[in-house]
Amino acid sequence: MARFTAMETGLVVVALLLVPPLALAAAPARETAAAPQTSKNPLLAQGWQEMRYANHPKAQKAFEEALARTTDREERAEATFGLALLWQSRPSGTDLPRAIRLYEQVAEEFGDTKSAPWALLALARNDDLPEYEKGRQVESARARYRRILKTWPDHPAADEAAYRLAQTYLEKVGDAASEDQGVAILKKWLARRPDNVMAAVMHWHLGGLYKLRRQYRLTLDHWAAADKAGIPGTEVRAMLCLSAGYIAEHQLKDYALAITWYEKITKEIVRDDRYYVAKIWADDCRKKAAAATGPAAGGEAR
Amino acid sequence: MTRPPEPRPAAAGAADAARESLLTEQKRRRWERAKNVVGLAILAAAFGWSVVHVTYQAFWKAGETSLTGDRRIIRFVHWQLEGGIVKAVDEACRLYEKIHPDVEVQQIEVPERAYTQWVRTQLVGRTAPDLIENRFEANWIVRYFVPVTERVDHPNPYNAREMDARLVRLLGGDPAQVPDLGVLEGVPWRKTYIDNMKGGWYWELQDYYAMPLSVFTVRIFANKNLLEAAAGDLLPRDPKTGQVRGPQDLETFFRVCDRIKAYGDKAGQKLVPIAGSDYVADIFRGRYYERCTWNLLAKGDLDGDSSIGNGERLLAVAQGDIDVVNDPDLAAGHKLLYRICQQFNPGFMNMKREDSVFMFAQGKAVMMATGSWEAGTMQQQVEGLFDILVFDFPMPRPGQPYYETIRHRITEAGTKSGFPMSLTKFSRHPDLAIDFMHFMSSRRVNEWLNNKFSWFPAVRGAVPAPVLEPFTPNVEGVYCVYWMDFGGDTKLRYDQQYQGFVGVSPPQDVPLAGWLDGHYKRFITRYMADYDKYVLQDFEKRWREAYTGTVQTEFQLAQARARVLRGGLTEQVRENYVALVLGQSRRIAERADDVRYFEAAKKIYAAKRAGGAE
Repeated sequence: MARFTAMETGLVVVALLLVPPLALAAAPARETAAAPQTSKNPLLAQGWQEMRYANHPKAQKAFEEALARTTDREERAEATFGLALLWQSRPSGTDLPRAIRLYEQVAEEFGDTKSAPWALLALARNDDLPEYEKGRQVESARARYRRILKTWPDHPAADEAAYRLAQTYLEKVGDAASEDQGVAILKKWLARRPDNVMAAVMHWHLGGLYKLRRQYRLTLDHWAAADKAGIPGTEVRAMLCLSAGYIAEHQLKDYALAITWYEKITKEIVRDDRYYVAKIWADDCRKKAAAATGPAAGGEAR
Repeated sequence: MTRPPEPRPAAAGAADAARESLLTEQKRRRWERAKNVVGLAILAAAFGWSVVHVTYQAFWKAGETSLTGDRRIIRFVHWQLEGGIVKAVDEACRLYEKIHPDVEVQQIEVPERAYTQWVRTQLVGRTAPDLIENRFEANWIVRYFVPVTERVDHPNPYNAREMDARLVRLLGGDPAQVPDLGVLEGVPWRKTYIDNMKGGWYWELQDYYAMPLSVFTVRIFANKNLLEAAAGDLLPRDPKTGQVRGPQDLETFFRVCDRIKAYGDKAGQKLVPIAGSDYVADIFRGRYYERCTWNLLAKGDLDGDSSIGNGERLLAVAQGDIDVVNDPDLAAGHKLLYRICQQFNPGFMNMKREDSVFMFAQGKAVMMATGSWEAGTMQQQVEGLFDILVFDFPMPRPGQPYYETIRHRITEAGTKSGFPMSLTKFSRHPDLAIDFMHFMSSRRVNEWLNNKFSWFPAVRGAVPAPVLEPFTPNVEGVYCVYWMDFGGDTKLRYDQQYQGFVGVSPPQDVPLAGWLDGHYKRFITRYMADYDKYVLQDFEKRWREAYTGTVQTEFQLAQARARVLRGGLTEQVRENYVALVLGQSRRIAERADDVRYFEAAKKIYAAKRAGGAE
């Protein structure tokens, strides 16, 4: 009977153990799903894509390589911003202090790049909405929002900064002076940039505030503007239209206006749970409108 | 009489014993050695098998090409093992391979009970298939799946006229003889879905992560033969076919149930009107409880937004706008559910879905409630035994009991598509996998596939099988506006006491109506005592957790801002960015409202307790 020495046996075992890893290593790399790649630098494009697919180590490697290889300021700023975002949002092990340092680096050292306002906005948001509520620093957040408005007034980040700045005042429910300050910021911004990115959100918020103040016409004016600017998502839009119709019907007794709002749902947002309610409430409004105009038209009904 | 054996000399005996012992020891050693050899052989076989398995996974099954190297492979895993589904998916795979001879599609079926465990193991081990039927939470989705948001705004190439005609031919039809379905040509993929692909959208991630295939609704299934025999004269008939239909109103439904019991008694059979289980009871509870809440909108919608938010609900109950103990609609709804549960088999709360399906299929119950996902399986199971009739949950008519409470059904306008398939990060052919899902969700194939499944298609214009007509989502109806609990302890107490409420049989010697009034009163009073005790802590927990949820949305927002930075404000990027800001702002506003409602409710409860103590 053939006998194996310990060495031979060991070699066989090692060989057998190595097969699966080698097999896996030898397996060809997967294709990459085609996604829009807008960054010109391929390493940056790769970094963003890997981050989107939550491949954080690969994303980090790509951004770090981009940073090491490029001298272009825009690209360096974008790579640093990518790394900051990575350390801010990776599901396994965030490093917020590191992310903040990197954001600060983008905002201070690369102030002339398109990444800078976004970095400053990220810092402001961290002051405004920190991980723990106790750590909130409203004044610091406001200062950063204001700096964005002053330094990059025509940048999309400024639109969000204007809204967030106003939000810090508007959130003090019942404090009329603070609310007025918030309203003034929004109105000023909407007058300056009526079609700004956040116009729908700004009008939505103003409408809600006027609803609390029982200024229903203003509520509906702002909600109409919000709807025109584009409320994203059918569910939120249906909710807004139903509330607006309800206000027009019950508070303003303006049945024609109420029908207009309800019909936005019955005609444009059929696939929402509010569809049937909007339909029956619109029918009710028609009946109420007919009842209101009937006696006035002839008087015989009396 | 037998002689006893003569005693052997002592020395000879010792030698024999020693030899015996040696032999035994040798045998034992041989046995030990044999055992070791067998053990080693098993170990070697197991190791060999694992090597083969891993190699097979790496090179072929999970690999990119077939063993012969001439075909790319995509793998597709799901848990839908109901009759006919596996076969239909398999046929679809073969059809796809006819269009793409260089591709092989492998279907993997995993039983539902083992599904989550199996898929998680594959995901963690990075050997997951290309496409997985998704049932995972956001943290798993973001880690292991690929968003398809960039794809859903592009047209599905299999809806193009030319390809559509080819699919018709492949499915054995003649393009000249079938209606032209090419109107979906050029339409963005998500807009080809009945629900605009809401079933693939993950709000918390603000991305499309799944490609659904079917739509599901819930109805009552009935044994048509028994129903007709027991209560045929109570039921309406189809004017064309003369076939019996389901009861058209709630009172007829209860009369039918009584007739079924009487029919069973007469025939000496143990026949129950409805096959009950915790699963069926939950379906009825959802259908009827939700309907009975609509009248509460006027009482609890404090801010006039056509819904009762959590904070509004807390305050409305605390300040007595909604008097849960004495509310006539909540009372009517619960009593109605009690009456329905009385039509179930005794001990239904301890039974599971499979038990009720078995009971129904065996003809021991005449009706059961379940979803359209069961339609095909059920038909197969009872084939040759009886016919199935499917109908919607009956509504009360004007003048009948419960009419004032339940005037509207629950809407299905917002029904989301199901059977969602997601692309894993480990797919070696992501574009091919998405192309396969384009194929499966093309109008022509989706119609054909779902007709085979006896499920409702998810794509616009796809015509469902005639048997599915009763499952058509009905857009008419209202939505639930009031829930009885706030999770945590309030939910635990409500569920426990609800089970006790519906699980008790009425005494034989007293009129049901009077007894039920008292039975309900005891249940709801007991529950509300617990509610008052736990509601503030449950609610506070909710809004404290809501802060963490809001912070989480900031991570998604950071990603959305990065998309603006790298790609500019395209329409899709802008919509996503604004949706996230709006969503987060709504959360912030709702939480601020909740805190205000909480403070107000806290004062009311404190005053009540102080009053009670005095």
